[in-house]
Amino acid sequence: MPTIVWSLPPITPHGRRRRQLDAYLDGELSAPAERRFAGHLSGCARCAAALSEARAVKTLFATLPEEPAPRSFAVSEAMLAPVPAPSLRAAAPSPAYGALRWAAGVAAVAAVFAFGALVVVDVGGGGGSQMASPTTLESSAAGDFDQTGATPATGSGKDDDTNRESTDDDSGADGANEASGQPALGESDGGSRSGAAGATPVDAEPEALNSQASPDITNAAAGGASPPEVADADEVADAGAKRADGEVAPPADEPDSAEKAPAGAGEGPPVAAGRAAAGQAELSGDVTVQDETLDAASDSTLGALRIAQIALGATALIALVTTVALWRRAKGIHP
Amino acid sequence: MAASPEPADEGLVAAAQRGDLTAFNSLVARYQTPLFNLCLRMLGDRQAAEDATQEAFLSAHRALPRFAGGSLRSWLTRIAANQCKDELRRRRRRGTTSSLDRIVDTDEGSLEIPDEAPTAPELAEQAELGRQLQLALDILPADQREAIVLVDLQEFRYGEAARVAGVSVGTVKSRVHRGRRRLRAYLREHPELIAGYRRLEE
Repeated sequence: MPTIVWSLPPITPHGRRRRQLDAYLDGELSAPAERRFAGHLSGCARCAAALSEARAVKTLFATLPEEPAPRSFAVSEAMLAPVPAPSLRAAAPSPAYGALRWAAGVAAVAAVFAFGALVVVDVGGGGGSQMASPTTLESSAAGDFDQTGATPATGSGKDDDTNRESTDDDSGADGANEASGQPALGESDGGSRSGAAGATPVDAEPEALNSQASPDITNAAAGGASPPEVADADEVADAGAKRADGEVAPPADEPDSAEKAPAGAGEGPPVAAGRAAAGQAELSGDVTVQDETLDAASDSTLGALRIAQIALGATALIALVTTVALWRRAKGIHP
Repeated sequence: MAASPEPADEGLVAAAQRGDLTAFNSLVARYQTPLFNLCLRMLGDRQAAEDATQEAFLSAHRALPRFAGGSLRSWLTRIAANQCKDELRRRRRRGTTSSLDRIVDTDEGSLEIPDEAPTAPELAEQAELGRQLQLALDILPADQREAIVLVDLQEFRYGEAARVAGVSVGTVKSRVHRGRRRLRAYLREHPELIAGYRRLEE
C-alpha cells in the first residue's frame, strides 16, 4: 500500500542523528561522525536534552552495585554425571500411551463414519419396508463409507486434531483407510482391532526417543566461532519456537545457539511437530540440545495435552461403541 | 574492542580442556560474580539467576572442547546470556510475570549485601533504588535488556556486546538506543529515582 509508505515521516538528518545519540554517549561513533554529532548538538536543544537524559540513565544503571556471588558455582563431578532427564519427552511415553493415541485417532475417524452410516440407516430406514433385507442395508452403508473415505481431508484432519501433529498425515491416512474398512467388516471390535494394528508402528517411537536422549553432548558440536550476521537470529528462533506450539524448548544453552537459531527455525518445528517422525528427530542434533533445556512447565503442558488426547480418545471410543450398538439395534429392529 | 584475555586464563583453559576439573573451577571462581550479576539483572530474580549461572557453567564445561580462544569472559557471558534469554522465553510462553516474587526476592537479597555502607537509612535507600532500577530493567524486552546490561552494567564495548549477543554491532547500537529511550521515558515517570540517586551521590 503506497499510501502508508507516503504517510511515513521522512527520515530526516535529524532523525538519523537522534539514533546516534546513544552511540555518541558511549563513545562508539567514528571520529568524523562524532564531530558531526557534536556540531549538531550545539545547535539542537532537543538533542542536547535527550543526551543529558540518556546520560542520566547510563549513570543511574551504572550505580547498580555488583552483588557478590551468593554461593560457589563450582562444577562437581556429580553434576557432570549424565542424569537421565525426568522429562516426559526424554522418558519416552509408554507403548500403551502410543497405542491409546492411535486407537483414539482411529476410533474418532471410525466413529464419524459409523455415525454417518447410522444417519443413513435411520433416514433410509424411515420407510421400513425398503430396508427389509439386511444385505441392502450393509451394502448401502458400505457405499457410504467408500464415499466418505474418498475425501481424505475429513479423515486426516480429524487425526491431526487428535494428535496435534501435522506430520502424522501419512499415518492419519492409514488410519482412515483402516477405519473405512473396519466397520464394513465386523462392527463392534473394529476399534480395538485397529488400535492393536496401530500400535505396531508406534512401538518404534519410544525406542527412538530413548536413544535420542543419550548422545546429548557430542552432537551439539556443529557450532563454529563465526559470529552470525543475521541481525535478530533470536527473534527468528522465537518465531520458530512459537510455530512449534510450545513443543520445542528454544535453541539451547550452548554458545552457538545463536548461530544455530536460524537453522533451528527452519528445521526445528517440523521435527518437533512430528513425534511420529522420531527417526528423523533422532538424526538431528538440534532436538537433542533442545531436550536438555526442557523445563517443568512445558512438561506439564505436555502431560495435560496427553491426558486430553487420551480423554478424547476414550470419548471417541465410547461414541463409536454406542453408535455401533445403536446401529445393531436399529438393524435388529427393522428386519 | 579486542578483549585481551589474561594469560592465566589460557593456561587454565588448556588444563580444563584436558579434563582438569580443578582448573575449570578456578575459572568458575574467577567469573562467577560477573556472570551471576548478568543473570540477576537479566532475570530480576535471585533464585532464577543462581540457577541460570550454574547452568551456564555446566554448559560451558560441556562446550569447553569447542572454545576456540579469544576472550573467555565474552564466551562465558554469551553462554549465560543465552541461558537467561531461554529462561525469559520460557517465562513468556508460560505467561509468568512474577514481579511480586521478584520484589520479594530482591528484598531478601538486599539483606545479604555486605554492610560496608554506613547507615541503615542509606542502605535501605540504596536497596530501594536498586529495586526500582531492576523494575525499570524488567520493562525492557529481553534483547534491549541484554544490550543495556552488557553495555551499561557490564561495561562491554558495542563490538564485544555484539559478539556476546550474536548480532551485528548495528543491532547492538539500535538496541541500546531503543532500550535507553524506554528507560528515559520510565525515569520521566519516576522522577524520585533521579532524586534518590542524587541524594546518594551527595
